[in-house]
Amino acid sequence: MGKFQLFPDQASAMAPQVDLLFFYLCAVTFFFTLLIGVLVVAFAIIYRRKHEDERPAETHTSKLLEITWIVIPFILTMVMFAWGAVIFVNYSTPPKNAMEINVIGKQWMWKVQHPDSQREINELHVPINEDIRLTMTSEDVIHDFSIPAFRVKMDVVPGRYTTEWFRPTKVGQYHIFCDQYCGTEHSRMVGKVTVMTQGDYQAWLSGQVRGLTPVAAGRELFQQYNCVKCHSQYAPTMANLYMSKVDVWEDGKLKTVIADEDYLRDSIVNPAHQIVDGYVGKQNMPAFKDQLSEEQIMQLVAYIKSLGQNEDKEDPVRMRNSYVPKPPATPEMNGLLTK
Amino acid sequence: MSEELYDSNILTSGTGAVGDDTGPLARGTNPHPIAVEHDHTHGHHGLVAHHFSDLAQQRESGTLGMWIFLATEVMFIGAIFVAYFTYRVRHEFFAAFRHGSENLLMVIGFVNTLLLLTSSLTVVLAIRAAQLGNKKWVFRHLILTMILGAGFFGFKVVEYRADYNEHLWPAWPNWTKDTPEDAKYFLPEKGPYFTDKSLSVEELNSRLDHARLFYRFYYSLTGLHAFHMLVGLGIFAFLAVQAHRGKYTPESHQQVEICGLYWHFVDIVWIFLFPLLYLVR
Amino acid sequence: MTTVPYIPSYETRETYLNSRYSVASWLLTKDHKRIAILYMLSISFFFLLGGAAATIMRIELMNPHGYLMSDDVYNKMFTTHGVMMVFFFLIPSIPATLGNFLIPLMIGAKDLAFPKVNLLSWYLYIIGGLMAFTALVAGGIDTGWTFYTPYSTTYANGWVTLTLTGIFLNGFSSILTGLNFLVTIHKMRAPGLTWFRMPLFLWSMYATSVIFILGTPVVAIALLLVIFERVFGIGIFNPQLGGDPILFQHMFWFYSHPAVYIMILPSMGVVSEIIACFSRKKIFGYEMVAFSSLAIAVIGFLVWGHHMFLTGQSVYSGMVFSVLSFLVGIPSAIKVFNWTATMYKGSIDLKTPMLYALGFIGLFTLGGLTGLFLSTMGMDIHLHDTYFIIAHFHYIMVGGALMGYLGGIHFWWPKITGKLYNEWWGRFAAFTLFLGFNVTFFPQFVLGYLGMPRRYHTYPEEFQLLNVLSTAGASIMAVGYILPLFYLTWSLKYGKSAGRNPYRATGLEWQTESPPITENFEVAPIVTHEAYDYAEMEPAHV
Repeated sequence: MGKFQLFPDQASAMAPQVDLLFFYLCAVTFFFTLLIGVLVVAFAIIYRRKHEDERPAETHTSKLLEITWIVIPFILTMVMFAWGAVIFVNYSTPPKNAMEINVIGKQWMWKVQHPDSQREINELHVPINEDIRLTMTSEDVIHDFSIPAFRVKMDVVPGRYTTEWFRPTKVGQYHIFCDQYCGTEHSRMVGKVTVMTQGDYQAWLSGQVRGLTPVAAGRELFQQYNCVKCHSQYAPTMANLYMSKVDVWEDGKLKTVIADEDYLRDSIVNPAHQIVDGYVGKQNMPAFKDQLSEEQIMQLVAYIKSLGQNEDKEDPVRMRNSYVPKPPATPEMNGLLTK
Repeated sequence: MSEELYDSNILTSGTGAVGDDTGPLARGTNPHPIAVEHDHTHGHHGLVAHHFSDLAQQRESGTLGMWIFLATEVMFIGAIFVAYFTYRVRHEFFAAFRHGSENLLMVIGFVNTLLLLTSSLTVVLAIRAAQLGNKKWVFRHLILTMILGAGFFGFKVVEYRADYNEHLWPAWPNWTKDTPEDAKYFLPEKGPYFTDKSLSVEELNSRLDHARLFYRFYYSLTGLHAFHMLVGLGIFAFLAVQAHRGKYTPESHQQVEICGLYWHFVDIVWIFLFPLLYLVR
Repeated sequence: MTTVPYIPSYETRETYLNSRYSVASWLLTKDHKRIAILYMLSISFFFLLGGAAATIMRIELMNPHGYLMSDDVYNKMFTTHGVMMVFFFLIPSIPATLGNFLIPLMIGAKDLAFPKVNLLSWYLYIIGGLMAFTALVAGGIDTGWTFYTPYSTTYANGWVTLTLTGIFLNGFSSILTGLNFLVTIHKMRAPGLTWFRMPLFLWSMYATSVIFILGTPVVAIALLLVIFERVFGIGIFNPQLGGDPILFQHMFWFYSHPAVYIMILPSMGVVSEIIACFSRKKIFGYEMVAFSSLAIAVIGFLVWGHHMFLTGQSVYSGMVFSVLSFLVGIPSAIKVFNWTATMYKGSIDLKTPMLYALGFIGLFTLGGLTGLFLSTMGMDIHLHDTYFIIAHFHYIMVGGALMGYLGGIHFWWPKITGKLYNEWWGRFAAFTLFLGFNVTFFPQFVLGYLGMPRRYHTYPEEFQLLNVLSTAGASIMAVGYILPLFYLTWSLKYGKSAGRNPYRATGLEWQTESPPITENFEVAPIVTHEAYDYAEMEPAHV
């Protein structure tokens, strides 16, 4: 991820197989394109018209020639078919003992759940050299979960389950893209998959140890769980929110509340309970009740309290478009943050 | 009728062709040869459009054109039929379609079938009258066809009204109302299949949803068919006016034949629709 | 072609252009040639709209974060580009302009079988196009030209119903045009013009017309059902009610795949005519090329599932679609080989139309071969919905269909207008287009394999260089598009008089005046020669 290249990383067991097929297809393509191109140019030069009344001799059709150039392409394409079908059948039959991960797509984010109930948003952490199978569905429109470095993708369809599987073979971070147009923020429905060694994966599963201040940890969580995506654009801003007066709708009635720690916590854990005036009907925030520990919630609250109180130029909430700047890099954050 | 005069100063004969040879026609050629030197048809001046060489070519072209048009209509209907069948064959839909169909007014459907079949008969009789030169009866049979078609249409309106009053309009809940409860208003639980208390609410709702899908097809299919009937009525009104003016003779009544093809087709579509929708029960 | 006949000078002779001048004589015309010109002007308008949208897109894509517009506006841009280009430019392009103009001339008839229906076709096209244009001006839609459900039925805002109604009406325009062409070719050929003496352009138009009449109704119904769902709330694609959103895709692609053959077959027909004329030889393997057109039309109806390998459809049906997709490529390959063989030992003259035709051969070959990548199921997993697909279809549609269209316009320009354009400008424009096109779209193959998805407003920064390169190419390509507008228009007033047959081509259309009289032929022709009878050609007179 991140550096200019002309050929994608090969990070799964399937990638080299697909690439080999790709090279065969390229070879056939370039051979015939060059052949036709060279012939056409050569003929245009060699047989150029020498005088106005030139009349070429009649050439006769050759059935043999015609049959040849039907049979040879037919054989070449049937090889393509068989080779591609084998890869596809393989792709459609995930190994039996694959690790099951569930993915739900919704406009415009990915919700990932690991078998031991660890959850992620727009991120997928996986161990290396293990078969992983994703079972996916959509909450609204058709999406597509695509990891180019693994050479895999599959449409994510509402009303049914689809699956894809892969076996990561290279440590690193790779793009996740939504690959079926799904509305306004289709191009921002991206994420990253992190392939880790077994040891690192276990460590990640059991939670991260951090030596950060609550505000800094909260800022990291704010990015990691993509709060910044909505709250820098069309969701209520949180600059100078703490201890200000807020008009909210609760159970159909409008009231004014003070945005204290309880309010902030409640907004994270149960956002539908009180909706800021002007956002009724547009409220789209998922509830983070089961996804964050109380400690993490406290860190987020600490971060939100800090917003607007200092001239933090890198504060994402203050950005007008959803360009997300790099937060200050620290050794712990290296490699684990979205861009 | 042909304005372009042959002027021997402008062109030598035959230079319109690839070669100068104006000899015998080659095999498999157009059976309606245009005479090279003179370009008017014989005797049918008002009846043949200027770009056709003769009446036979005009008639054949018109008929072929109508058959091709009907082929496109087959593709239209085929598309919806395929959509209908992809649901019908799934087992969770099959029963719901059947029970949903029970609420349709089969009597009206049956009467409409009879009306349409009879109207196809009157069309054939109109063509026969034209062939026999019986101009009065051409007009009368065309009018009869229109009356029967209008009768079909009238019963359709009555039927749709009754359906709507029975709350068989399975629109999105928020099309006219906003709450899920009102959605149920738009397909009442009729019959034990939809009101079986031993089943869970989700299961019952799912059955209602599947029945609503049936109704969507019912309205789409019969609505499109009724639209084509309406167009047909307009066409036959035109034909009736022409017949009244005495336009159709034994030699030239192609318009009635071609439009008759259209009418027969609309009839045949109904013959398929009726069992598919009303007789599913 | 023995003695040169006396022909009155261009200015005083009556032609289809100057027989009557009033606006009504154009807007109520039943002359297929005037209708062709009406189409030519109107599709150019929609081409410019679609091109403007593409220009805006390419400028925006120079920056990975999007800097000129919001996501929503960008999405509307690519939808506009697709809708305008596919439905209002490419599908009518050659059939409605060159097909309308040339079919009666090529068969020796006075007009199409149903001239009034022809005019109705144009009006349906205009009304449909105006609806889509109004929807655009009123705010546009962002569903993509493919209108996938449930996004288009339930989630999309904007003028979807208006746009769909416009496309629906346009579909009827296509159907009636196809119907007209089929009946004309069946019933109105001149005496002596047997099926296997017809120019290959007519075979292509015949095959295209078959697709028009059989495929268009299916997409019309699919779009109509989307309209029903949006307007009346009666929807069958809604998964929340047990409906199947993939059903829409089946109905949509059942037409839209054959639609791409609607776009390419006429171009192939044009290329056959041009190659024969500027090699001065009969097309090698005439019967095979004719049958290939029909084969493409028929097999093309059986491959739609290759757009849906990744929707969760069964693997076995996927394999069937994959095999058939390879098979449909074989007739196209036959044509390319046959065109190349035609040039062998021919007498090649590289006039502008020939440059376009040769450009077609090169770009269509590459584009068609990249289609094989996508028919290969295992490969399509990686390439589906990426820029590889975009590059592939632009090679076929722009490098193929559009170059064929421009080649045909240049080839028959003397016949249509009676004027010759400046050859050097023509060649320069063709070359510029070819060069700019490759710089624009070849990098997109690379981008696609890297994984850049299509319909993306913002993208990872490492893709920026290739995107900027692509935009640079687009600016060169734009020059190639705009130049013909100038020198062709210039030729109308200042161009040399063309004479009947400036390129000394065979074909009935070249035996009559340039421009023709309204009735096409002074004397109804009779055909006694085979097609492309260049071997029997008379020497030119001074």
